[in-house]
Amino acid sequence: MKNKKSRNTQGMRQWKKFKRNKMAVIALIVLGILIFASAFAPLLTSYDPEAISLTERTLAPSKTHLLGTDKVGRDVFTRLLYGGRISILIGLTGALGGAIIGAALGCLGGYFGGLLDRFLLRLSELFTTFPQTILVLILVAFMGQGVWNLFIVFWCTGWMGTYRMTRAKILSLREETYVLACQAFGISNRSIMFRHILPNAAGPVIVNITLSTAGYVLQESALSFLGLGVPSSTPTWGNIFNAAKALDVVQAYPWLWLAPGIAISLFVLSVNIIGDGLRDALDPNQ
Amino acid sequence: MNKDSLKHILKKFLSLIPMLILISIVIFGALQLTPGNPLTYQIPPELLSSSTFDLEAYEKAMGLDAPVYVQYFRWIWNILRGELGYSLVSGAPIVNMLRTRLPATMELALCGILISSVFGICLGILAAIKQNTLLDYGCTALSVLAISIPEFFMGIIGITIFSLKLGWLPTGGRLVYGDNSFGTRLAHLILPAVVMGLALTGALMRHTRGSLLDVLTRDYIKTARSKGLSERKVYLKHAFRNALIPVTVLLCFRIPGLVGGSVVIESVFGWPGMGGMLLDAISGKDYPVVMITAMIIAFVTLIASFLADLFTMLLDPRVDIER
Repeated sequence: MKNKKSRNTQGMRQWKKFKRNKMAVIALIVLGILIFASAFAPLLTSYDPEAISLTERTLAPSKTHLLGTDKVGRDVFTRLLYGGRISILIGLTGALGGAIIGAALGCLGGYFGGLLDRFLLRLSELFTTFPQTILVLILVAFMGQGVWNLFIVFWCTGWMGTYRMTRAKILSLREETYVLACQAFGISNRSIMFRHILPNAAGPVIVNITLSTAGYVLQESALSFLGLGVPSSTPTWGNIFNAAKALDVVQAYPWLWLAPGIAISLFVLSVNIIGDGLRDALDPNQ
Repeated sequence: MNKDSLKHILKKFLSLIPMLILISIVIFGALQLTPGNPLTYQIPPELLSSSTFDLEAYEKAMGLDAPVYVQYFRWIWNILRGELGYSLVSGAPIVNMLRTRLPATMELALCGILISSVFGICLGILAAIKQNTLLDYGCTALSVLAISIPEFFMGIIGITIFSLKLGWLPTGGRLVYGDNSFGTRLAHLILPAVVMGLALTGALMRHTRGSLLDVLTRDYIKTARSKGLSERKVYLKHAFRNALIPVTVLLCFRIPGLVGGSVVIESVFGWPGMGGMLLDAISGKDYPVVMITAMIIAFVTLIASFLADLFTMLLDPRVDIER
């Protein structure tokens, strides 16, 4: 009971610290609006993101079409909302998946040491040295396009940061008296690893997840922009922006690329600011 | 430099070799698993479906019937001899493609690095010296913006403003046929290089600012000040030197990413470099080109990260070499 209470007060203190950072709070609100708007897209718009209307091609923004229509008459605002679903989902899932894999491997390697640890360390070095963009491009070329393939690509290439953080934390805590006490009490290795040591690494891992969510949203949109990400039939922010590959679109129909570009930038910007705020709030040295 | 660190450098350098071999196996293996026979893309479908056509003979002639490991060693041996093979799509020797593509990417990346290190470090120093002033807040806000706005969005905005609206700069490409003057080359280079360097500028600025602020609280700065040294001397002789070490390390570690990240920039600006070559090759299933380009980019990355290690050690003697 007592332990729970102290953790609560620590959480309150960190939240208070975070709240004092005005930029971070604004960013949190912006992020909330973006996620809310995407999640509840059907309530906010009556159009179908896929509905083609050849009589309403490339209309400028107006009251009926808030952000205009694209080259086949689809409503850009609607596509933006539905596209946000996929883009944000890919960012979040990519970051979380990579962090879970990294934390699990870091725990295993750091706690048990030995051959397994050496192998994992080498593997992470290999993945870190290999240029990520190239790895992603090759994997996409090899596996083809698709949302699931992107998840797998991001998981494969994104676990090393969390892995190194957890491993270092576990190595430094493994010899602590309280861990020895746990072992003496006969608590299972799994419980010691995940319940007694891992929470100590939570701060930097949470910051890392936040910042890599932004990174993956950027990567998804860049890959989709290049035509290698999500298949172009599915609206994502990157796929909508893809229209800007034609110079006549850039010049004549700016709403087609300004809207998704601003959406991506706003999302990434607010996540980055929140990440910085979290880093300051969760760092006990500050 | 003592014997230990020399040994460490040598060890690091030698460890590049197994890494390169592994990467080559990964690249070769991944493309072996890719569905589809590369030959079938080369032969007209009506010929391929005709009964007199002997696909196996063609495979034999191209060496595709040999076991995978034989094909791998043959490939490596050819690369080592400098015979990089031919593009499946255009039939051109890959060496010739690289001859124009590689310098283009290098030119772009070098300019990007130059722009970002000059602006990033200068603005970072300025923000740290004027901490908590309007200038500091402005610089910090700009750096977060530079990191967050995607490169392709920034590129399209740049093209819209400077090429389409103002007409100052070309919309893309590298050279104009028959006009090789410095002015035209610079005009083509400036926008892609600035956009490429922007994200790195932001990162470097934040890092420089943080590192300099950290150094300025150290005891030896207090000592230097209490000795009565002028502020300029404190900064120039004591603070900058130590503050810029982590910045240089960050810069070294980001260089490989710049080479890889050129894929997007080159696509936006139609810059004829390695990134565009890789992209064309991937979408055209031009396997020999994909493998060679990926190998070269991996090689550059490895060398750059080795240099980053080396610089860290030379600049900061405190780094524990037996890490």
